[in-house]
Amino acid sequence: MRTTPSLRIAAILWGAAGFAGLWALWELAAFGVANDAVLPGPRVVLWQFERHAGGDRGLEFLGVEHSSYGINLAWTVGTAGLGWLIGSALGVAAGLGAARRQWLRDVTEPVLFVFGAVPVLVVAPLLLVWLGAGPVGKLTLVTFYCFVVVAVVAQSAALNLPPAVEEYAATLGLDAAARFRAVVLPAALPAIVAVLRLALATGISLQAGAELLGPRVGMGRLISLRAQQGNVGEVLSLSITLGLVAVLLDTAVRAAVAPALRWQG
Amino acid sequence: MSRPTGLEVRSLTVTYGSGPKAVTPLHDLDLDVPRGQFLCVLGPSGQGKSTLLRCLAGLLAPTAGTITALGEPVTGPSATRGMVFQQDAIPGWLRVADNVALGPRNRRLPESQWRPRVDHFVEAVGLRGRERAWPRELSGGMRKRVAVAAVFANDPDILLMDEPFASLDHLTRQGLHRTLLTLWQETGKTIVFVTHDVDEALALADRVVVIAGGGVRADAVVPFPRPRTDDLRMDATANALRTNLLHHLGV
Amino acid sequence: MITNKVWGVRLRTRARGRALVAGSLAGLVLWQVLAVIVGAVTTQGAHVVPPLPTIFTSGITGLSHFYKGGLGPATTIEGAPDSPGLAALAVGQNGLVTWGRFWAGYLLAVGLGLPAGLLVAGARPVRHAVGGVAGLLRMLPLLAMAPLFTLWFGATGRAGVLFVTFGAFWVVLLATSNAVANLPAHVTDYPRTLGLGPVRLRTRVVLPAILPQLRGALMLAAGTAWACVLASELYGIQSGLGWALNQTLVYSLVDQMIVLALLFAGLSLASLRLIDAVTGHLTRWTE
Repeated sequence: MRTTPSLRIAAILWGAAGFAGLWALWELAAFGVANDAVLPGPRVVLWQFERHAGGDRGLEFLGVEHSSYGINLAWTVGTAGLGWLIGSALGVAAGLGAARRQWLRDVTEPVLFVFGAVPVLVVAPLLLVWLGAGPVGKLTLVTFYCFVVVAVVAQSAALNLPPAVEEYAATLGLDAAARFRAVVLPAALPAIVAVLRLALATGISLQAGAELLGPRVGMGRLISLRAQQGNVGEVLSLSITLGLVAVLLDTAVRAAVAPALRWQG
Repeated sequence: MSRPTGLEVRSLTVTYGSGPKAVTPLHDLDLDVPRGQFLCVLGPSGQGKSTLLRCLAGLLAPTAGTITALGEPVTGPSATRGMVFQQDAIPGWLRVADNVALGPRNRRLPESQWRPRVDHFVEAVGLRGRERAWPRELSGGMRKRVAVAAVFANDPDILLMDEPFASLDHLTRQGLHRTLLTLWQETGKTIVFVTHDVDEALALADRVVVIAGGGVRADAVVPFPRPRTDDLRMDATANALRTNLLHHLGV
Repeated sequence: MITNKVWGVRLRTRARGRALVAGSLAGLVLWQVLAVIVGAVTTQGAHVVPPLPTIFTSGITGLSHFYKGGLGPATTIEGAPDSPGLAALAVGQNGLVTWGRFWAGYLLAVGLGLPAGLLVAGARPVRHAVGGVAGLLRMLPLLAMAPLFTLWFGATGRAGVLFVTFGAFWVVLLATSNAVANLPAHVTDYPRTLGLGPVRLRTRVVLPAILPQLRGALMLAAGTAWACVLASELYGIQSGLGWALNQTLVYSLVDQMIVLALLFAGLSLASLRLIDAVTGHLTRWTE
């Protein structure tokens, strides 16, 4: 489907209207509940953000060394991002390789079969015991998660290439390596980009989720402490901030790969 | 000296599957295609036309028998035997000019050697001005033109065409026939063109073979001078040939 | 499928059952070797990487602690010793709870997300408005928001189910509205000429037509739902396999931890297989 500029502007405007609607609904719901401890309105959450983003002495009494959003965000997103980079790179290589070489498929299949379906979070406790509450365990978790989802999608994308396209390239004289480079890789790219974006968002979520189980730093740690204090507004403020950073990163990834996907229209 | 043989097929047998489910679309088939000939292969659906073409292209290994192209045994796909597919097979992520340049560029020759060829064939198939277009922006007929230009630009000795224009409307198809014949006369390539349409075969070929029941059922020379027009439909000799071919097709 | 060797272009692989079996066996052997090595070189080794016999004995019977009573036999707190029978009761009790939470949350998400998606897709402006919001909500750190639901609904099963629904709902909603938007016009034009009304058009034509496209999203939603079940049980809720898993973490009972992780994996694999089979049956006309 072709999108004209006026349609795109309309889409943006309606998107904005959607957010305005969400805000209004939220305000209305909070007004109805009339208890900031249960459901604070968006303005209360914003006020929480302004008050605590720079740090909170109260948390420092609870043994949190760095309580400002910035450091914890950098920690969570940084660890998740590193895991995403390593895991995705390995996943693309393994997935595409497994689509082309039977022995590699045989080796990767058991892992991809199980963890393609079972949430990777299930190994989080084991990693905590083995690697401790430090960053290495969570880095391993996110890396492993990204590896699995990216490999599964890259493999099926390479296998879904219509055989005629590769046969056509072969009759033009392209050998297996040239076909991989000129046909398989570009054909699989849209699906790979989509799963890279999914893996980044879910990787951050997984990292923060694993941080609930008790490290010293990270947004998940702050969320868990605020939840123990019963501070719904602050939990929402932390979650939404992390979500917005994820959206920003997603937008950056999308913009970076846009030229390579223009052929799709 | 006689013209050197373009393609030589000897005792070609292809069997799919095994046991009671085995299917043998080609059985002990022999065929010679002289160099420079435009051969049309006719046949009912599912009777081995495409299987034969895939064997000639080196995309499918025969169960038995040999294929020789220009004196060399065929053991796999090669740039000397280009193929135009029935389906859309041109990569969607390459612009028109890049699609036409796909084969030559792969050989890592300096651009000065292949760029003129690419430009020439883009022009020859009528895509001048659309060089920067993406395939999705083109009609089905224009995408076929890209495929034809790409295979000619790669300069193979033999062109294999698997019902390439089957999905196109009559007028578009006629336009592509004219383009194909012009390029064939200009380059003198050997062409094996598979179709199930007798009139398409009579409009294009030097010679027509009918494949059915695993082997060659009929082999006829098409004697009409080119350019052939729609008047061929009125011609008594042509009608006799058409009736004969249709008879062998089981119609 | 062509069995002849394809010259040149044969670089396509397939899943082989025996590779799965061989891989699983290799994993078991590797584990045992690792357990022996770690056990030999460290004092806590057997505890950290328990050997297979330990996993298959105390790893299983130890689960008796998670039996909460109410099914006849006495619990370990009441003095009963660990036994395979009690362990089976414990697994049955907690597994059933987890299984129930998954299905309740997942089916609720599908039951709400599908009609919502069909409604949203009806008008382009609504699709853009809801699509943008859903796109943002999808980016929230879902797994870290489990505590929010415990704050709202207490450490109860209801919190778990609603958390699962919250996680999977957006996936279903977005996928449904996108699938409807991508539906070619002729699919609905023809039934319209037959005089189908808007409701019947959606339930009888649009829904079956988008189902093939939705299969992947329904699987993704199920995967998300399982992650949510686990997150909610790991954090706060006091029953289910995830809760038991968290207890093994608190007390560093690695042998039981592994058995529980395997059980959890088995349950989620089974449910995904079931969903795949059902959606496959519903879309069998496409193949």
